[in-house]
Amino acid sequence: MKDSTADRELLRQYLLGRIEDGTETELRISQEILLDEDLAEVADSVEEQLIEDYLSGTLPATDRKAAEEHFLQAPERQQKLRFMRLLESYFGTPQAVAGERVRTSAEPRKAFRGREKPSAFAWNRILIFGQAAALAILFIAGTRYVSSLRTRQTVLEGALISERTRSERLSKEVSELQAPSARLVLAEGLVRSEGVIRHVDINSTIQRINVEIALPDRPRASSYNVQVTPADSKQPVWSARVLPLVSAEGYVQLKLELPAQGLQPGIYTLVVSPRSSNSRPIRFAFEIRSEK
Amino acid sequence: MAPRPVKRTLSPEAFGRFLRWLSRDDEQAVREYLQIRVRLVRFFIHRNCTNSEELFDETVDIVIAKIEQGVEITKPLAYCYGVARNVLREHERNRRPAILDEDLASPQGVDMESRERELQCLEHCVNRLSDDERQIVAQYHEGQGREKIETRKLLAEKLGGVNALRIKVCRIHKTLRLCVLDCLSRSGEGEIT
Repeated sequence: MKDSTADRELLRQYLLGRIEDGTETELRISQEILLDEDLAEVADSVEEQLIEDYLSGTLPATDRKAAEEHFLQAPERQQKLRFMRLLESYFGTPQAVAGERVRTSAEPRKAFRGREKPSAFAWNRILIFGQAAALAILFIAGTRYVSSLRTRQTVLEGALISERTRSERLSKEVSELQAPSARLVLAEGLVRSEGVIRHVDINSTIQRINVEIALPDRPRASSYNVQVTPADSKQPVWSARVLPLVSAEGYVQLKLELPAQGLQPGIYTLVVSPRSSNSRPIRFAFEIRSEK
Repeated sequence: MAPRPVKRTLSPEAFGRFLRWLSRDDEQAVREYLQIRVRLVRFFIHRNCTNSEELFDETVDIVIAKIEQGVEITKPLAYCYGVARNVLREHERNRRPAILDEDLASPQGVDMESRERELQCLEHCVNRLSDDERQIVAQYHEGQGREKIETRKLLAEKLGGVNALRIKVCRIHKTLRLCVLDCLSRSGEGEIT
């Protein structure tokens, strides 16, 4: 078996759990992967291809079902999938592709290789301290065994506490969602075409302003700094770092919640500064009006 | 919430006996143990098991029992693999159909702070790649739809074909993934959300 397209397809079927355990084909593939590290690497790349196709939605329905019922059950693969999602979100930005976001100087990869396979230096140390290393391994294994018994109770208690915290957080989020709010939509095109300043009416019951900012013609950054400053002041009254939402068409949108309490009626400037990018800040103005 | 099953581990005595069986030389024993572990855990993952490391420990327990019964074993990896197949068969008998308990493709409620930390770690790790590797991985993920396909075609031509490209990218991804996990564990996160 080698890295041919036909073999990759066979590996794909194997990884999706379509080749029954104990059949001649399954035995052959399992054994070859066990003994041949190059083939194991090909299997890894086929696995990655499946994960990519699953994430992009290009996996055929039957394969998708097999992936969900078998392939993605392993926590190790779920971790790979989460990582792939992170990669797509990072490299999907034009800045990263253009090289603005990534450094150009080369650095050695020794640190990563070291995780895969201990270095010669590490092995020399094992050689020198051979007996001590074996004892250390036994000690660590022993400690883990004993501590696993002791910590079982602690783990369960920890899980209970974390469940309670989560429940409290959810209750808080629900109550916040139920609180009265106002909506403000800001978009460059909108401001230009209307030629008027956007406004939002608030009263004493309004607790927050849901702000939606459309940046249709902007390259996407990994995150944005947003600052709100009264027009007659240089001191921001609110600021936050916001992650973008990106539509299937690639349009960038920011959504944020501005606490209404403490915002006096008047004109405000909202400045959006893309991080990790040379793009200039984008300024919006809006007015808060007091509703009687 | 149902209590999590307690993960079983090898006892230190059993682990020590297993190492001694692999080799009298400590360095060699550790090396062989790691090799067997990596390959058998990978075998269990490939057969879509959700508890590969536990199944590996179970395999080693059985092998140790065989050694103590005086069974002559000349090829440790091959013998362990044979036992692992039996362990898998037993596991398959008790396996129940499973469904994913979260939407992995488009998860809800990803914590923004965690995501930002992950992106920072990834940026740090990307910057540690060589220029060539950085360019390859950036171009590989560049664009959407047809544009992405065309970019990958060009990249594959440069690297000797689609399969060569996939293997190259897979290696870079692996380097990055391990680096990011290491970075996150240093910042107290330890998991990719």
